[in-house]
Amino acid sequence: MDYNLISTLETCASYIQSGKEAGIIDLVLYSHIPTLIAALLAGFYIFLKNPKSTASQALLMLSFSFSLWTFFDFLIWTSTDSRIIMSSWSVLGFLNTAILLSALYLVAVFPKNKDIPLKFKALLLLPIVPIIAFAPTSLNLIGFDVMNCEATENSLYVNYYYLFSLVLFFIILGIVIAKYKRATNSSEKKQITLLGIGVTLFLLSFLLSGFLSSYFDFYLFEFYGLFGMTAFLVFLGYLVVRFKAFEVKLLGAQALVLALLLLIGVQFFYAKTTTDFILDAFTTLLVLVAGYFLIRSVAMEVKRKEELQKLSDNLAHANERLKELDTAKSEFISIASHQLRTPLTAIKGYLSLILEGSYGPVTPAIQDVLDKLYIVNNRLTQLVEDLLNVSRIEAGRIQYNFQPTHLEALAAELTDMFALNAKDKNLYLKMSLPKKTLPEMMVDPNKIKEVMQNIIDNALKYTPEGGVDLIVENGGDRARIIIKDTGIGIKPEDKEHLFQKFLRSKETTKMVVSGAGLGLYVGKSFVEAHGGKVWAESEGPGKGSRFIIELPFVNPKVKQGVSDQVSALAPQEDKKNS
Amino acid sequence: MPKILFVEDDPFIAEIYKKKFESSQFDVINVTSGRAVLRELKENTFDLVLLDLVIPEMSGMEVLEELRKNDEYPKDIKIIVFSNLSSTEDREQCLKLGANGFISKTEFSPSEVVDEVNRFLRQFGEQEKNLARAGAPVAEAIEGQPSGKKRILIIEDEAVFVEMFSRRLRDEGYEVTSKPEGISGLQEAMDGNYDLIISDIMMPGMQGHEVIAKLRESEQGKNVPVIILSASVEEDHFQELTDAGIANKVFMKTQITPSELTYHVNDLLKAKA
Repeated sequence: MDYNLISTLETCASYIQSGKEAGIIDLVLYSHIPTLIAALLAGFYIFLKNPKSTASQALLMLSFSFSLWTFFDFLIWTSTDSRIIMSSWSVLGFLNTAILLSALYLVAVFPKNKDIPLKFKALLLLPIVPIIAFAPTSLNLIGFDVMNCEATENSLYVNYYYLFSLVLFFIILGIVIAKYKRATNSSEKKQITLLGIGVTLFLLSFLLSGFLSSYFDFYLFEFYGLFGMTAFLVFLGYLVVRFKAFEVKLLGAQALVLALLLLIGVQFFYAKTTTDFILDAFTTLLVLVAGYFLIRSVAMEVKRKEELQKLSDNLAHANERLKELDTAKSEFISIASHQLRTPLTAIKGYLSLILEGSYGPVTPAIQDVLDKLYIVNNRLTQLVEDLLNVSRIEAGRIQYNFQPTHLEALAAELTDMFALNAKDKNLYLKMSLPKKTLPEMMVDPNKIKEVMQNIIDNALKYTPEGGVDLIVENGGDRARIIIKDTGIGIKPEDKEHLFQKFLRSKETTKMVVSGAGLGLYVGKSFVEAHGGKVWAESEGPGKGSRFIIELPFVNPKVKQGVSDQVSALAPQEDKKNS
Repeated sequence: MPKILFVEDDPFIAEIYKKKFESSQFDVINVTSGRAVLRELKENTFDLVLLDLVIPEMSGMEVLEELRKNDEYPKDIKIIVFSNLSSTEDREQCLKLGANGFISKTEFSPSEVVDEVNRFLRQFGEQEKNLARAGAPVAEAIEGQPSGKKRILIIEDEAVFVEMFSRRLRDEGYEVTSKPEGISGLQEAMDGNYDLIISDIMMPGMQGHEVIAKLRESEQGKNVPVIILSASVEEDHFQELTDAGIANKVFMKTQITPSELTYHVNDLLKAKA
């Protein structure tokens, strides 16, 4: 191969001189160097972040082959040595094909990192063999054109690799379209679209410009063709920042600062005077410092956001777990309660038989003990029933038997029932009814009675002196039952939990020990099934409490007398009156 | 109608209890002092005396002592101490003096007191019956109808319940057979010509209500009285079973004693006869 042994050519030197004067060399610098650096930086950065990912390897290949091409092209433009020009020129064809192949590889493995089968690789690599093999021969470059300071190409060789490149380009397009169609989620679709557009833009401008410059000898195109890489890098940056593509965590701020630095850095190539240089350096430094702080604050923000997200994820998870646990617990209670009934029944039955003398006469002392046992056992049975009730309520399996009822009658009955308790404790129990009788309401009298009974019972229990008022009022469209006592009151912090399961305030444990703390919880869901509300008010500890039950005259939840429970467990009681 | 002597000096409290007891078909005489108790008991007989410990003139303990020591009063007067004083010492003292039971005022609401009194009365009644049976067990069996003994089938998987309930039913003079699960229970009910069937609900093989439903379809089982005992049927479903003609009576196991079950059996068989 004849590379023309005249090493430094006058013509070339003058060519470059004229190029400088025409600003062509400036353009070469501007188009080649920053692009080359940017491509290499991006390729290595992403590769080093995740060296095992096939996609980042492919990207590195792409940026590397592109950089090499740019580098040799740059040499061709700036060199005056025919040997450098010729040898650089001879590898352009191969590098051109390498760019296409690595671009293909990239779109093929992105974003899932699934490598392509070996035989496809072989099939793709096969056509490159002649390109490599004939590169250093006259089949590639016929000779050196001293006049134009350029190599004379063999059009067969050039046509061959351009054709191959074109085929590869269409394969790439095909892959992108196929991948887009097969993508299962919108994020994947978007990523493929972005990469596809980026790669296509880059290759299109690269190939088109190369093609135009080759065939029409208009090499200026080539410079502009290189800007396709910049476009590609912009898409790449967006992919990385937005989708964490290539599994790289890069902040938008980082990418921006990096691009800015690069653009400003390019200015160094045009610094013609010291002043220019100092200004450039100063600007770069300023951007560097400002960028540093910007990135730091953004990174902090992002970190906080991520932490917050993690916390809220954890919280959601914990909440989910709690719900599961609560269900499991209710089921457990239901099963356990059922199992508990069997021995309780046996104890009750046998105790009664012994007490009745079925097994022979019982001495008074033993009888008294057995009486106590019998009563305690009944209490335990009741407790088990209460537990079962709660699990039934939670499973939404309580049935209501709604029937026309006068609340006043219920109130009177309860007043009678508790008169004695009150008297025993030297408390008053006063009932006050509305002057005009309330309309008959569709309620489940037993359930409502239970709720009222429970509250009155509590009121009496927790009132050391004074007494309890039971007031029934007409509240317009609803009946209001108020149970007001002069007792120990409710602490503000207890008020919210009062209607929860198994809750008894600390104060209450001191005075009475019986009761599982289910009453108010069960009562609340009973009242809610009537479309009503129940809540507690208190000025504070020692200042007495008021429990208010509101029941609408027309129960919105009644259809045909019997209804299934509608809202088993509505969230926390509203506190508009507290 | 059980007759109670109720000793209570506070007219307000006395009135409340009197009302409660009377609404539960009791005959209540209220006296307010120790001497009045003694006077009343000399002249009238009562099924039960509810004795408060803190009363005017004499203390409850003194009244108790007098009643038990003085032969003028019948020995079999049933006395239940009904008081606020419920310390172990008080209870022991009362029992030593001859009280038959103790109801603590603070532990029970008025209606619960009525239930307790009922239980005591039933207990005393049963005790007497058991004593009588212990005295002449064989004679009664022969005197009753030896071949005409009513036959009851219990279908129940818990052996302890079979033992417990059938013991009481046998004491009452019934012949009791049992089956531990639904399928053989149904077979036995069809073939055995029983006077009454008691069945559990939750059982291996066939559920109790299915057994009874099948039985009702057959000629033999159409009219036989059925009592269902359950530990799982929720109250609201009780009515359905009786309404559907499946069972004559449904009870929660935890709510019924063997004697109470026996009374219901007696009632059903009496109604049939």
